[in-house]
Amino acid sequence: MDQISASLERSLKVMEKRLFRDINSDMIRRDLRVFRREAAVYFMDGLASSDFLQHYIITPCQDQAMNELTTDLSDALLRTVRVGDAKAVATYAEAVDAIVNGKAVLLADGMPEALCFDIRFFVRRGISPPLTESVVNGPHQGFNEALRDNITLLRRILHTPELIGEMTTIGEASPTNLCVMYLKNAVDEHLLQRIKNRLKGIRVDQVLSIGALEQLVEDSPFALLPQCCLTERPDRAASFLLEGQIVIVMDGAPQVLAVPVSFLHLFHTPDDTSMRWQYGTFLRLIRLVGALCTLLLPGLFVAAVTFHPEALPVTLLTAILESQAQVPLSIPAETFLMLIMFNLINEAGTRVPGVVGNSLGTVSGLILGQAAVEARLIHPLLIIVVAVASLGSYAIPDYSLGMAFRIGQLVFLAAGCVFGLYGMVLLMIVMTVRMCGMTSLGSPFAAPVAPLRTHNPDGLIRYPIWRQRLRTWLGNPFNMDRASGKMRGWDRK
Amino acid sequence: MRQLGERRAMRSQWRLLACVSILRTAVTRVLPLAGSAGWWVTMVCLLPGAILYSMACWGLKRSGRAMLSGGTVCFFASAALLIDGVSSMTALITLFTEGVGTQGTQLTLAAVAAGMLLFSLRREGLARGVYFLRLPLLALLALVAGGYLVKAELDHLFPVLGSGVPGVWAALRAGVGMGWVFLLPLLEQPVAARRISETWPPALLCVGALLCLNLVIPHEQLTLGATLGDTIVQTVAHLGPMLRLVCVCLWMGTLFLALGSACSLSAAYILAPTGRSCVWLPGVFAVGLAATQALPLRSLWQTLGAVEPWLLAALGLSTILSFRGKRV
Amino acid sequence: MKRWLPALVAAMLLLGGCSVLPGEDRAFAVAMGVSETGGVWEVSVRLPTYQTGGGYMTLTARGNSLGEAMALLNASAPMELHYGQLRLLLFAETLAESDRFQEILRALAARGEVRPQAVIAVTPDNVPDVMDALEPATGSRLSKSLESLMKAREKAGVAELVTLEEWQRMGQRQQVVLMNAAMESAAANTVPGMDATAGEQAAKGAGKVQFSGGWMASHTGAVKGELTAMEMQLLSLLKGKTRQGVLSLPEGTLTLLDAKCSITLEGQEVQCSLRVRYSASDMTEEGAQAALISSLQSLTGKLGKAGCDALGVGRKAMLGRMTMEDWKRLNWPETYPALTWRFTVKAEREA
Repeated sequence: MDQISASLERSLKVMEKRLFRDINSDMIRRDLRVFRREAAVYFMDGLASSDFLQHYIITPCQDQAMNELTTDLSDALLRTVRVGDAKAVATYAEAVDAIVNGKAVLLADGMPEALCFDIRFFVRRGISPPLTESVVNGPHQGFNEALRDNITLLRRILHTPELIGEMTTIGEASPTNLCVMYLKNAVDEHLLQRIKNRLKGIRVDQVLSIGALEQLVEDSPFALLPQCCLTERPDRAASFLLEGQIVIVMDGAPQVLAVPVSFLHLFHTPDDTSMRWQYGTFLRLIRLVGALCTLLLPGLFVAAVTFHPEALPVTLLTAILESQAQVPLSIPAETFLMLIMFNLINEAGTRVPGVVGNSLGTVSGLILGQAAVEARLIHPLLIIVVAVASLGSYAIPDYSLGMAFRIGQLVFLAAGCVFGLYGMVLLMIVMTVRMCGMTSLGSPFAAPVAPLRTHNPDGLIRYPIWRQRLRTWLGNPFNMDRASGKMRGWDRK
Repeated sequence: MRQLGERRAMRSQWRLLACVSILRTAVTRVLPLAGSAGWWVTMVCLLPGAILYSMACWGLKRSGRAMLSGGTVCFFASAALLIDGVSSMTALITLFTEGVGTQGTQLTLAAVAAGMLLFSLRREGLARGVYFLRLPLLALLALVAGGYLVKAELDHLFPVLGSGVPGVWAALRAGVGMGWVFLLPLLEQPVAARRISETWPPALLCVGALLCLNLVIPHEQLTLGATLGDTIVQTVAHLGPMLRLVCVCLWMGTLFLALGSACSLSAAYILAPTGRSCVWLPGVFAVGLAATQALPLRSLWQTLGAVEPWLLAALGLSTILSFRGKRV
Repeated sequence: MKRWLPALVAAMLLLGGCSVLPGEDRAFAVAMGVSETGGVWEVSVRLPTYQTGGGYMTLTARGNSLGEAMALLNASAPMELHYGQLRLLLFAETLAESDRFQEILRALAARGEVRPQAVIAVTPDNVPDVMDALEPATGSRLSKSLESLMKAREKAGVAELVTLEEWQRMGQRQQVVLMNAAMESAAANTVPGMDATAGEQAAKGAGKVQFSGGWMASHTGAVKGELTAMEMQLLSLLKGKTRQGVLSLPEGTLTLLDAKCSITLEGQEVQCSLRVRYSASDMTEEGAQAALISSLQSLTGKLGKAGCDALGVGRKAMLGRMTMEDWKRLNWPETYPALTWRFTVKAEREA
């Protein structure tokens, strides 16, 4: 019996109970009179704008207080109230939902429904540069925690009615608003249906962050590599949409979730596209080298010195062993210790706020590293190896991927310590095979490399923009062209 | 395009399996017997397989069938893959124990390999992984070949007949079955046009690799190695330290991938007539292959040596029988 | 299954993995020397002390067999010995002249940890003394110093660097000339002008050890006689390794600008065609020609007598063989010394 009663008294009783008005001081009720009937407006303090309420709801209603009703009450009220976004709901649940989302709900005697008016106006962070994805060329706008603002940012970039935003909620006890956005002509309908099914199938009380949502929808929750991409940048999200991917915007999260993705996407930055293709390609290759250094360098160093000293130049080997002779720890132990220390410094720097946090890394690295070398606790060459490996992890644009590589670094180090280069090679093969078997929303994660897929030539090598005529294989397979004719139409060559 | 991508991945898997099978058999069985004649004896050994393949293609075209099917041929293909898998596993473990000098028993190392295989045997991941790694593997192979060729001497290809006719004949008998891998693609997804040229890439690659070995290692040295370990170690002994590492890693990586491919394809073929699939069957095969390392190495290797030459005959016969049963 | 699998693999890895000694607990020998006198085997190694600032030490052990001596050496060493960075394998002359030499080299090659790129040398002097005399000439690294010195000697043509791996690849179709490593007092191998060519610094060599000249190995593997530094230069010229430099002949010196040599085998006759271009010499073209022919004939005679097919004529003989039986029937160890050498030398003098 959730249907709203025509009797205001009865409706008020239900609403008072559902909103816990006796103890919940945020829930406000304003009684008023309109068209000679009793009415009441419910709203939440702090989420709804008092000014809008006063000027556009209460005052117009009061102006009609003594007038006779000539048409349907609901119709009349909708015409009286001067708010753009107005909707009628038939159940108490919907009415309560609207109130907790910041809307004002008007109930009137003799009206078997409630009218919801969007007068949301809550405190929120302004548009500021993204914290974790800065670029040299390109816009410096990042998402904030307001769902509406984020959708607006996307719509400002993609001016097309084909940009669809389907609103939904997740969370049973405390629903969180989500917007599933996609380009109608570009998206693969099967993938869209799949993500919608997954969202529908989530059974939790509440989803507090977009990261939690990612963990609830990803294909392989136990895999080290992320299968979705979180981004703070509207331009990057727009590029995903243009490729036929789906972007999920969540209320309260300053990042959006893009699915499906491939591992190559995780190496891309908007800088690559903004710059000329030569620079973009160069930077991508540098990132790849950095990523490989992060993953393999410490393990290779330990494996070479411990298991394959014959492969090292003897001068280097002798230099290493001469200084190693003074150090109490073995090379594997030293390396593990150094990597743990580095991760500790990194984490401490992240937790300590502001200016202090920025200096912490430098100071810790310098002092601890230098002091450790002089105290003969660690080998000088090891500092360089760990420093290069750490720099490599910072070059990875995707934070989740960077974390995955830092964990993988320890795994490869363990393999190198136990089984030498052979262990590392076997592990690399196994990890590659596993990665190739992974999927992101059902799409192969290692595509378009393996398996081969028709794709935009913007994988590892960033081809010139006028050659990028296709969308990715992740979009609608029947609409892969995104340019007709010559892109540089003026060029007669 | 999506189908094409998956087919390419599966073709890469087959090619890797073929290359590893042929090269392993050639290096461990043919070269010690044929010596300097090893490279052309291998070519001759591959001919029956290539001929049978083209005959089967012709038969498929004539009968209007897209691919080979039938319980018998699938069973023999599966069995051949498993036997090849045992050889690859034995070679891999011997590479560790005698080539690398790893501590640990045969069985322990096999268990490690099987454990890692179980991690890798996941849906289409293996085929895609092989496709992903094909270029790095080829690049490493080119690097190693370069390392060999700088030491090449033309006279190492002589005497042309190696130890003589008996030696060549023994080598032919030992290696004649290695062309069985050429029949595997006929059991895969249908391919529109089949040509003899499908067999060329792995054949050329393997014969090329053997030619490199023959150019570097003289006959007298090749025929010294008596054990499996000796023959494997010989292939890397003449490289510089860094290249030797690369070559051992190449052997190890390709043997491992071939093992995984053998397990997954074997499981696929044995279930093909039933139309079902089984996620855990490749894992069972992997564990089974590891378990064979509990047997004494010498007896195992000798048994495999006795069985392998018959693989082509068995698979060929079952192919012919599959045509007889289904005339259109 | 997924949960216990990583634990199982990790356990297997720990059980079955390489339980190897950490690098800092191993000593990497730079040079190794072997000698045998009256059934007593003596093995010496030269290795770094791993102190800051460098420094090297020599360890020596004796045993009733090579294996025993090496085991004793390892037992007496301060750290586990590793031969993966060996640069020099030195053998006493008496050992190198024995028929067991080939067997010893094969045994060493079969030991996986011995660096196959180690250069084999023979010394007429006491092996531990020679090892002791090995000191870095440039910088503080003996390995680097040895490598530079040996390469310089090879480039000058007075020594040939034959590694363990190359020796294995020779098979039956060619023999090697192993480098001579003698103490400085053995002046017979020093060729006037050689020190100047190699440079003052390099002449000091690895301490007092001279790498100059060679020892001819026969088909049995045993060495049978020496070659002087001059003869080594001629050998290098015939092999095509030396094309420029100062060539010292008994009749005088030739400053080579370019040299080309080709060797063909026709029946029982080896035809050697040598073409040299030289400059600023006191020899006329005819004189140079005659001097070269005479020296070459002397060299090839010596090689033939020792049964050392250093020029790889056997490889040419092998080209016509169908089977190893054919090769064996050829009886190359007997055929080679009986071959006739015909030299065609064209000397061009530049103004």
